Amino acid sequence: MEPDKNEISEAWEPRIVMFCCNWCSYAGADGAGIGRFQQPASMRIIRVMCSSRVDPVHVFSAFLEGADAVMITGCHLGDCHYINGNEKTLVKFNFMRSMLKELGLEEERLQLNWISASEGEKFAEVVRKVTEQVRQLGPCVLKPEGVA
Amino acid sequence: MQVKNRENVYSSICPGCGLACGLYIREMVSGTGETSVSVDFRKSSPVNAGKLCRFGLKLPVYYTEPQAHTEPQASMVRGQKSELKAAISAASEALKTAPAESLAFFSVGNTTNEEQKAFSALAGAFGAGVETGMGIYSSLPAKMHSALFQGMSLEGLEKAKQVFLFVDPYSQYPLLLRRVIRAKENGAKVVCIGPRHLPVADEQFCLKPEEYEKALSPSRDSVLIADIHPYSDPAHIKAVLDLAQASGAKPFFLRPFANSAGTALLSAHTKQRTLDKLFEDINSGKIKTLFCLESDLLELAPDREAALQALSKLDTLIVQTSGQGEFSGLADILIASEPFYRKHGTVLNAEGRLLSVGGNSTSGFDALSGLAAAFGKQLDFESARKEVFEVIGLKEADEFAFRKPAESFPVTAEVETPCSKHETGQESCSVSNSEVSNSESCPEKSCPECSSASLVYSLSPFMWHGVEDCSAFVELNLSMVRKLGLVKGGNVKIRASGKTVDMKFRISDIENGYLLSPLRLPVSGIPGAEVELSR
Amino acid sequence: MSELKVAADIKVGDRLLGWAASEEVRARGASGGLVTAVLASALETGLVERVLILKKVSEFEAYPVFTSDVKEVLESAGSMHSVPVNLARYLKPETCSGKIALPAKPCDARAVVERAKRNALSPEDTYVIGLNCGGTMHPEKVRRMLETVYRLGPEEIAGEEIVKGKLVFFTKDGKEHAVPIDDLEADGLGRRDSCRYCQVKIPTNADLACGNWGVSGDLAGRGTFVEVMTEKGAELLRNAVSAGFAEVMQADEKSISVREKVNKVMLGMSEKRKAEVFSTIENGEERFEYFRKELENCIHCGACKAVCPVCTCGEDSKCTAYSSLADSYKMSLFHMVRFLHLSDSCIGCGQCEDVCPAEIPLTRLYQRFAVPVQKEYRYLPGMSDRTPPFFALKPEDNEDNEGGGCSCR
Ligand SMILES: Cc1cc2nc3c(=O)[nH]c(=O)nc-3n(C[C@H](O)[C@H](O)[C@H](O)COP(=O)(O)OP(=O)(O)OC[C@H]3O[C@@H](n4cnc5c(N)ncnc54)[C@H](O)[C@@H]3O)c2cc1C
Ligand code: SF4
Ligand code: SF4
Ligand code: SF4
Ligand code: SF4
Ligand code: FES
Repeated sequence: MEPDKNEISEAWEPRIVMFCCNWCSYAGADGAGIGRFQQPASMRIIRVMCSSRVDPVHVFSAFLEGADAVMITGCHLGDCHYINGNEKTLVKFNFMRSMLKELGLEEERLQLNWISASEGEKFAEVVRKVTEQVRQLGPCVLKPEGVA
Repeated sequence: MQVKNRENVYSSICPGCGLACGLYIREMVSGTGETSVSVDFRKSSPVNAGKLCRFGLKLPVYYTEPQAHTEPQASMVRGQKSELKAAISAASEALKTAPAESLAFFSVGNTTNEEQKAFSALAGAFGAGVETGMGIYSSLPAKMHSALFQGMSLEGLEKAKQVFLFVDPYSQYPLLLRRVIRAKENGAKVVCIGPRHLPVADEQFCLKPEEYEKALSPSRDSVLIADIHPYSDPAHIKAVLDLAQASGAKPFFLRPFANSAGTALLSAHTKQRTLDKLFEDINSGKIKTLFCLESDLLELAPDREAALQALSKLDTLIVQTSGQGEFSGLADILIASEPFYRKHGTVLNAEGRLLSVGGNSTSGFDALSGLAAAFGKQLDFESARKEVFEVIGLKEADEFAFRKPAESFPVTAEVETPCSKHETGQESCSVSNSEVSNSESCPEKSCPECSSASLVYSLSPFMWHGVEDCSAFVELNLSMVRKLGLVKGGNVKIRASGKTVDMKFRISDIENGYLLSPLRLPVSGIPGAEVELSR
Repeated sequence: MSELKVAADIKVGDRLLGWAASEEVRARGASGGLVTAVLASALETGLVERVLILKKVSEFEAYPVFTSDVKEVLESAGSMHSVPVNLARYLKPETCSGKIALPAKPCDARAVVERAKRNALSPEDTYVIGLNCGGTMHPEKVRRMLETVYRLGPEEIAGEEIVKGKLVFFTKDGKEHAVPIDDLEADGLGRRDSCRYCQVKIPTNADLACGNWGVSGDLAGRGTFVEVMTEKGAELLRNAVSAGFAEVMQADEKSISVREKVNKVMLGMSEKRKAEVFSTIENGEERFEYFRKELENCIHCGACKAVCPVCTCGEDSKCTAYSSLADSYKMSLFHMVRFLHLSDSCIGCGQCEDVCPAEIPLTRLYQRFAVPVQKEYRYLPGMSDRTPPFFALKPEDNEDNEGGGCSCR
């Protein structure tokens, strides 16, 4: 790794936009807070009713506005409160990931995780892990000039 | 001739700017006479290879909104809907009763050569010429005029060794862009002059006209591309021509209206007023009756509010147009004509190609020639056309033929001393990146997030067509946005001459200290002004 | 020569040689006028209400228009290699009432199929007469070729044809001027870029697949090889034969094998070209820089979207509604949305590239995203009625399917 990238990773904190579905992963986030599990302050959480509400336009806009990574979370497969919303999420996710990869972004910049309402600890762990991954990658190429 | 319930396809051209790109207009007329149009790509067109810009693609809006442009019966006489015939005789009556010296005839070149010719005949019956708003010609020495009309094929441009761009092809003349890109692919160096940093530029300068000669060094294989329009700064035009003369480079002047070039040739013998002078003469009562042919004075005016006031002072405003917006609503007499694509006739584009508009209606022409005949000037379509071809120097409309410009240009207009006063205008900008600093004139002395900038209108031909686009924002660069503390999604406050306006903004790669606007802002008329900015 | 076939014997799977019964149509047609005869008879007998034809303006220009006039259909005979239009785009709910028929190159036929999936047209009411296609040329390039290679003026040209790998211009003085297409293309002339890596040469997705490959001897230039792909195709052909517009006979083995062979060779050339054009850019930053650089001249005119025959959104669509001229993003949101939306469905027809005023090699850009995705999902858009993978309700729906009519990707 080049030296200046190391420098960046010391001073620089990644910003990650996280979409949480109302019924599972958002409750998981709550759980992580109540349980006081350690997690970095890198996430900007956006609550949606179901993970399938997340449209590629939301994901792309997040990147274009300066997110270093985007994470979509929802209920475990089979548990979606709208029957099969998260299966559609999975189809879209695969497409977005290939597209962003072809565009030149690292795969890790778009993530998908199923987190249930009771998995507060898992939530915190995922946040820690993803933050670390993105910190290693450095700022995203889509970040506009002048945005930290 | 329209056929109902079947698509009528017109092999036409775009009226958006002086390039006059080739396209198809597909027109569907329902059984009840409602018309809808769409555009299609005419790939064999040599001007543009079928490609179109945003404006060209938006033509259906231009042709069918705000009201149906396609209603030939919507003529009006003093607020009353009337037959076309009645409107024409009302116009005839108005012209007859007005003193000849209080009449003015105005057309910028949004219509065919043939209509232009008939309009000239009508004006001639009163000893007048057609005003084109190009007072700038009178401020340029007559010997320079022929260079303004050289024209050059866009294909030839691709072979230039160096291209000097005094226009922004991205926003002003989009179909020029591909030719510049091709020239660059062929090895040309592209030098851009203006406040915006263009992706196509190899070198970028922000210069005042008096600096061109010093800073730029074109060669004989260079092309200098500028445009000339009612608001051109004479000093700029002159500096470009001087540069061409000194270096042997070829000047190529683009023009904003589809038929600006033909219109200029056909009214070459008329001493032109500037738009400012025109409004001054209306205000002073020198002009009492004004006849506008396919030209929207409200869109064209330097200051809309002032224009509205001036126009209300006229005894009679006669408007012949296919476009029915606010301006035609002001007309005392409105002669409704067919939309551009349905016209039979020709236009001369900026390159010097004589193009056929593609329609077969002469109703606009007939209205004008009918009026001219009423005042003793007989002119049928065929003879008008013959005269047009003679002036232009071509035997027929042919997409592939170019007009051979005459060595000297037939001007008889008296020449005023060229204006040398430098004003803030589109092609002029200060070369020093003047640090944006707390301006003395800032009204709130203590305000740290206030600065001044030169408002520069990125004048594009599309400003004058009254088609709404999602371009209601101003542009400034990142460091100015930071300094002012502007926030994403917020507005910037712009103040000048006691007026304030809040505008959306875009961060663009432009020189420091400049505020670019594609729209006329209520705080300042054209050509622009020094303004105060704040959050 | 074998016997002429009677209408009742024509069935799906038949491979036939055919031509127009009228000598005039036969002479005017590209190779026997069969296609014209089929279209005209469909209209004449009321099988369809309207036909989408190419109305000829010059050797280098024609525009599509619907007609119910048999005479106009007869006048539209002949192949126009310099008219790179996609006919499917003209089929939309506003224009498609009642039964219609159209001639269709593989890219036209593929777009028809994709548009049907998006409810822009009814497949049952649309009769697609497929034409084999070796490629089309942009008229601007044709003029340049004439000027710089053939040294002919456009007004001298009486006709043009692609024969045995050569582009031949016929001049009014009766002479032929031939140059190998490979030579032209080495100089950046010749066919449109997208045609050089086009993946389908015989429109097996149409109702009939017509072409001159495999037609030789006496019939060369006077007959067309036609494969009956669907029941609708059989209906069209039976109709043309029984109405006396066309004659067909069984194709012999030699014709069949020559056609297959040429097709294979052509597809091989496309594959090779595709590999060249889409060589992987390994480094992510370089890939990003490639797209950024290619798109930096985009003026957001929207022509690429307006012309795309597989897009059916109309005025208000996701790619336009959320992007604005006021954005100053590192990459256009408009294009990002389109890169994604078209990754499974772009048929590589080249229309977007044809109309881009900023000279951006758009089809290449769109195909950069499409090639890996279509390979991953083994989906060749426009070749079957399989739901586009992006519209699948769950990932498994995409796994069960073999290839969307083709496994070549
Ligand atoms: C661009 C092009 C390339 C072709 N390349 C090959 C090839 O490589 N190998 C091969 O075997 N066959 C090819 N063909 C098909 C072949 O040329 C004949 O069209 C076919 O054999 C039918 O002949 P016909 O006399 O019955 O057609 P015709 O009776 O002449 O009818 C031709 C029909 O094609 C339509 N047409 C003409 N130009 C176009 C166009 N650009 N786009 C869409 N429709 C069009 C006409 O409107 C008409 O309806 C090509 C056709 C085209 C249009
Ligand atoms: S460049 Fe000018 S003529 Fe061409 S499409 Fe745009 S506005 Fe019309
Ligand atoms: S894209 Fe394919 S089918 Fe379409 S014109 Fe080109 S070669 Fe023919
Ligand atoms: S056609 Fe070209 S310039 Fe126009 S929006 Fe598409 S990519 Fe941009
Ligand atoms: S994106 Fe371009 S190449 Fe792909 S289908 Fe649309 S117009 Fe054709
Ligand atoms: S409700 Fe949680 S993913 Fe659908």
